[in-house]
Amino acid sequence: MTRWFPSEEWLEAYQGRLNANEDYIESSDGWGEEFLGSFIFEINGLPLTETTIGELPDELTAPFRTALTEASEARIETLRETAPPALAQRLDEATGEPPRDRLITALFDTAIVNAPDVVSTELRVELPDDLENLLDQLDRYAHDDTVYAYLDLEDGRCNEAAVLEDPDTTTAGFVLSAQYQQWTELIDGADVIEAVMSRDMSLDGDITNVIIYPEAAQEMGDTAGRLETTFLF
Amino acid sequence: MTQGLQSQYSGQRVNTQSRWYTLFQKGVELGTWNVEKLFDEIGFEQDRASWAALEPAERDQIRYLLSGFLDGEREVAGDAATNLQRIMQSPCLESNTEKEMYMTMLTLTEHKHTQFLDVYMEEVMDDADNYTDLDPRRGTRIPIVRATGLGEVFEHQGLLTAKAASTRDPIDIAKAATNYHLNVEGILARVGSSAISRFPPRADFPLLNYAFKFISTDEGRHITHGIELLKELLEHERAGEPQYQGVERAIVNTLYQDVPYMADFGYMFTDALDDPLELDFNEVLMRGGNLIDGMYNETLGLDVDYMEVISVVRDRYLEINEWDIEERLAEHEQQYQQKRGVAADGGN
Repeated sequence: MTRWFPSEEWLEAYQGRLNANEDYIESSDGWGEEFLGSFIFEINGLPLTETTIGELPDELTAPFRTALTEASEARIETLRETAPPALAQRLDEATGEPPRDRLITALFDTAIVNAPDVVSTELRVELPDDLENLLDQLDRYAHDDTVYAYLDLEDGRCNEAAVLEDPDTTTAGFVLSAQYQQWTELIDGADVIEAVMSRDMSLDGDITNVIIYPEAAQEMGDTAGRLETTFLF
Repeated sequence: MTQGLQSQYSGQRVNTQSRWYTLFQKGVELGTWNVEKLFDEIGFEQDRASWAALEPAERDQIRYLLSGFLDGEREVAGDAATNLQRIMQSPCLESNTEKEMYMTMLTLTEHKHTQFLDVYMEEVMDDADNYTDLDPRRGTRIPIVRATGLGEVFEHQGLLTAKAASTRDPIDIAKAATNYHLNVEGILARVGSSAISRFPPRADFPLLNYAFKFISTDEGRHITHGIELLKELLEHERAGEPQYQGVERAIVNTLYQDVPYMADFGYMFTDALDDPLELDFNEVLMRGGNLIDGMYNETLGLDVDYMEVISVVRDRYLEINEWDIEERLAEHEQQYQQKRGVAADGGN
């Protein structure tokens, strides 16, 4: 599967890369042994309201569009008849087109944040696995426009990596926050320490511990930068 | 820098369109607050009452913070009156006349800051020995400033400004201006002022807070002067003029030299005494880092190596964590007392 960011799969791959990164292991030797070394990555400003399903990358949506384009008339009729109220309303609003085109338009013009309201059980059958999975994750993990990822880091190991369904119940030693766009720049190779210094990213936690392990912080950023990533937005 | 504030008048020897003339005028307008009038108008009563109500450890925390300011202000006032004034006459600088004019305002305000802090500590913080009577410019710093590395920044300032005043070389001027205007005024003073503004409600010091609003405004103009001075030198370097080559490297290297001792200042008034007022060393460090980025990278367009900055701060932090700060402080207090004896008997 393509490593979409943000997603569980991306985070899992990141965990694997950290644990295989000798430079990270060496530079974070002792990290978190006498203090809480875990991190929460707070990804703010996800454009869930501004982005429609049709505006997601083609790699995700093209198979879905193809499935609907090639579906039989009867199948299209079934999908229309089983449409949830939110989709039915959108279908009513999309006048002047053939039924198939109206369905596609109604679906693809739906904002990501409203996707759960328009995707019926019947329609799920037509969704490609990647798209269904990612829409599910956004539904589960997005808190307004923010997603929280948790990393349990201790003594050169990432023991756990998880996207948080209920961030209020998780405590971490450090919280690294930034707008989604800044995270994409970090993954594209921006310097994490410079981003914090310039306040493009915000770091909450005991800075004196980070000062002692600057190479580890740098290697965390560089590891993300080396991970093959496709951005969802 | 000062669009809209340019003079409507023109002179013959003075360039009234110079940015330093504008800074001078702003200093004349804004920098003439009267320390004694402030004492008269606000009074010491509330500050004394708050001081008396604080726990001894909380008082020490404020005492240490203001000690750093007092020694620092005395040093910058002294260097402004002597070395900086001579540096402004350097043939490698533009607008010498207007820069000299501005330097009189800078010197005046720095002396007022010293005046305020000296009297304030004597009037309000008189419950213990403040070790503020001897002059740091004659080799006797306040013990806590010596016990940590903050004094190193001031020593560096004296050396760099004296050398630049002597050689009037652009590289030496860049080093001196970096230490003085960016590191001492732009980072140390602003981080310290920020800590004062974050005192908890039980540490209610209206006179101190009021004065620091004036002091911060004054320092803002000084920092602007420093930034503009360094920009001028960098422009010459970037234009390929041989005499100015090395300015950028000199600026960044001066940061790397000073920054570990600058971090000492934050340590001095927070973790060195378990931070009872919760001024938060993390907040201090982060504020310092943000200021470094803002001045060096964003404003001057330099490329600071943050790994270098953090590495030297890390090494220093690990070193000071091994110290017994109370023992070091006692040692320096004893030395101070000895010097008092020498000073009292005329050195015999």
